[in-house]
Amino acid sequence: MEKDLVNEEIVALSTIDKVLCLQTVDVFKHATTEMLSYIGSIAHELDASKGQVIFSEGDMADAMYVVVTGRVRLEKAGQEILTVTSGQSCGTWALFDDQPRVMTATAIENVHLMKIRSDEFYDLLSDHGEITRVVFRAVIERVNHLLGD
Amino acid sequence: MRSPDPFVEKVFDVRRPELRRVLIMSTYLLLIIAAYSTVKAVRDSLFVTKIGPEQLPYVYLLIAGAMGVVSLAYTRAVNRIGLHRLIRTTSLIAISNLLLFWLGFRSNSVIWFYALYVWASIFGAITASQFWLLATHLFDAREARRVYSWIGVGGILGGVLGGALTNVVAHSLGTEALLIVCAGMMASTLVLLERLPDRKDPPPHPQEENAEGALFRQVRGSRYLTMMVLLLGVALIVEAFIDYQYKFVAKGSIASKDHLTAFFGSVTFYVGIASLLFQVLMTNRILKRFGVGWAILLLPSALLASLLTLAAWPSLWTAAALQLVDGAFSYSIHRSGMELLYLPIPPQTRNAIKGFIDMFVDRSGRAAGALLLLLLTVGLALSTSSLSLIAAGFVVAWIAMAVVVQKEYVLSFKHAVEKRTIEPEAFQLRKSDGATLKTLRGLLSSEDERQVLYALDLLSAANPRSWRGSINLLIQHPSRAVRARTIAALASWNDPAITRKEFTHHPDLETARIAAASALRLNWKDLPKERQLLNSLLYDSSPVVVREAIATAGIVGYRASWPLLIDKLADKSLRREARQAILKFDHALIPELVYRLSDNREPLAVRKRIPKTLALTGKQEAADALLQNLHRLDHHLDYLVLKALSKMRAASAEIRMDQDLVNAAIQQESDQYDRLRAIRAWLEVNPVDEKLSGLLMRALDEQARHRLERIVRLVALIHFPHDIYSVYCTCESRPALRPAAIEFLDNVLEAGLKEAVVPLLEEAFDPAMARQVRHPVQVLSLESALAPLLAGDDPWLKVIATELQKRDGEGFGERGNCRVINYR
Repeated sequence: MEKDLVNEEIVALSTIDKVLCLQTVDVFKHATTEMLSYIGSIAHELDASKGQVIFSEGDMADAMYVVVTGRVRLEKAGQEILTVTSGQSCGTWALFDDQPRVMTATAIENVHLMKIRSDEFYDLLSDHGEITRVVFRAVIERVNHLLGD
Repeated sequence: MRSPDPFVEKVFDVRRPELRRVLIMSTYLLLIIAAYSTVKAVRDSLFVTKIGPEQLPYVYLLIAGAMGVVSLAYTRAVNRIGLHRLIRTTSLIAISNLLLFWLGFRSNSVIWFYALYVWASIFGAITASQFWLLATHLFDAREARRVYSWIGVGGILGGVLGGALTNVVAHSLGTEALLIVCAGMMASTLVLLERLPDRKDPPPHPQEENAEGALFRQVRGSRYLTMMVLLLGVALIVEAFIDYQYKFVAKGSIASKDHLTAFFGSVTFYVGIASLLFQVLMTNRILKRFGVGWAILLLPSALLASLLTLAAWPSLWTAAALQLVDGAFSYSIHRSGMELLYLPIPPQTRNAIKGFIDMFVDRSGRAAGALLLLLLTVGLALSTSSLSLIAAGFVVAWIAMAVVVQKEYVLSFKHAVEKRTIEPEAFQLRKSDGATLKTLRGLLSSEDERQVLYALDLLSAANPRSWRGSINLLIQHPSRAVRARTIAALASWNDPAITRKEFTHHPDLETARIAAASALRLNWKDLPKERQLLNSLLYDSSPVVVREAIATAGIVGYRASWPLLIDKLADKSLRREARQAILKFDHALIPELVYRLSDNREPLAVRKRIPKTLALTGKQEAADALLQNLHRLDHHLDYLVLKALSKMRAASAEIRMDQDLVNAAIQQESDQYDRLRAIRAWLEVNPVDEKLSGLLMRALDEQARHRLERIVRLVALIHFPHDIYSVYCTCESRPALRPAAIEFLDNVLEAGLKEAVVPLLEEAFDPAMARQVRHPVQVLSLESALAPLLAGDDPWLKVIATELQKRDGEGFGERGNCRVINYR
């Protein structure tokens, strides 16, 4: 289980700000803005300072992160794979699979993040079947795309 | 934001991309009709003066025979050389033939009069058929509905022009000179055709060896096509009667050849004027408001009245009036309506079918008409009045067929839409055989708890007799879940085994309570101690016990459990059982459910589950209550009410919805839709904050689409839901089939509803039209744009609007003056 990056939860974003940020996240691309507001309501805000590890390879995955501001480096076995910037997400598969993390995420600069815990996400899905449908659609598209590649 | 040609679009209902095609096709039709009506007057005048009207039935027979030869060549030529080339070739042949006739009449041989009569009929049939064939490829079903009537105006003006020219030229230059005028008009069509924007030929389809036979079988195999053939056949017989009577009476009244030509020209002119007035003032309105059905009924109805008048008072004027009525409707509404009948036929076969029907039916109908006339005039020597009465009898049959064809037309669209509807897959469960049961019984003694539970799940569908031998083993099973599932499986069959002490006095107290809750239903006598026990079990701390107690409460009809049952609808783990128990109370619980649905103090989690529960009752009373609550609850709850109504309507055709209430709801939704679109349009022109405006516009789009879905659901409440949802799904996912889907809807909705829904669907799925606003909604400022959202019932739009208002108050910075838009 990953530990929280800060002791106190920050509340800096309004619902609208969260929606504006979430609407660029690939897995939520078919969600309506109202659905995004529901997803935003379960998103916790966190800060990580430059160099801080957000999650490490091998950690049990229990949440996904959306970068609000700043940049996050994703690396595997010491090799950089990707840099995640504002409006992008990392650790998305944690929502669908509780296997250990396959990459390490480190803040390249001070970052502000939204964290969506998988257990809370599933609670949300059970109350909002319509969100389940659009998330599944995005995941299937993603899988098809990967298979195509 | 504004339509590029608002005047043309508003007045003529012709859209910019269609304008060029409409103008060219109208002019093309004008020229061929002018040429045809002119040559027809020449032919008629020359024939009746030189040969005599008594010979008309024979020449009708000649025409029918000649049509047979031409139709064979024509159907093959369409596929072989392409439509555009065929039209050009036909025009060139017509020009050369007209010149040949002009020269031939100098010889004064009777053969030329017969030849011209037959030739003119073939010329008229081929050019008109080619024209409408071309038109059906240039315009889709929706375009056709709007523009055909305007194209038809060209044809009517052609009749007026032809009639006027005939009158003038016959008096001044003589009848034969008109043939040169006709050749000139046909030459003009060649130039015009080159200017058509899309000159690609429709894709050819392989010509079968026995194509005519195949077409004949296809027509016979389709009730719709068969009825069309019969209708056209009867119409042709009537036409032969009218033509004969008109010419017979005219020749009896006017002796001079040129005067007779001029008279025919005058009648053609007045027919054109009458057609024009009807086409401009009535055709489009009738087609849009009443559809094809009325359009094809008007001509026979008017003919019936005219024929009866001629039968009563036979004279030149009543005969001319009959001709006037025939021409006025034939060239306006009737022609447009008949051409629309071809639209449900797939484009791949439309060419051949149309050619076949036009030619085969034409020759058969003419031949039948000619033979009947021969029998009645030569054989029985009947008078004009008697012929009129017989023709009136045929018209009555025509009217009956038109009614049937209209119904078949609607069905054809329905089938076209349905064929492309993905239907849910059906699954079939295999019946359990002995070997399967034995395997499952074996699994009951497995040490793996999951395997035992799985086997119990499957066996619960079979009578416990088949696994009774395992019950003792299962009671003693170490897993509480297995014991509970065993009790549930036995209880679902009301098996008395659950009353055994091994169950009710099980050392594990929860198992004992589960068994007690189940056992109560077997011997329920409504005694105080039973009620007391059931009450305690309904409020047990174990959800498994409560689940069984709820089931018992439903089965024994324990009314005191109602509040708890409704409360438990909010509990995910017990919702299913609570719903099933509620449904056992039938009508009795409906008023209570409705009361709690509309009670604002009730937890939302409970209220949200009530509409579906009411729907599952399947009772008219529940449907009435849901409909009464429509638009009275909050935004999300209201949608659940509508979904519940949809569910009820889809589940049972017996459920009736109050049409007035539904229509009022549709109007309300439509107004909301327009308002959302207007605000969105305003924001697009006046973006106040890039991100926030963008978000609001997206939310408005989503909400407008949601409103559209609600409108479709409402329409489905008062029509066949499957049809309506098929249309909606087709519009959403299959743009190519959209015109056909909307056309179908256009034919099944009544006038008022059609006017509200059809344009909305057309606009919603057309990207070009989606940017327009339908109704006059005036948005002058950000404040007035946001006001309806702030006062509205949609909490999410309210949140964004509030934020936008807040930021506006703080000042967005530079945004200049807002433009004021007066939407039409």
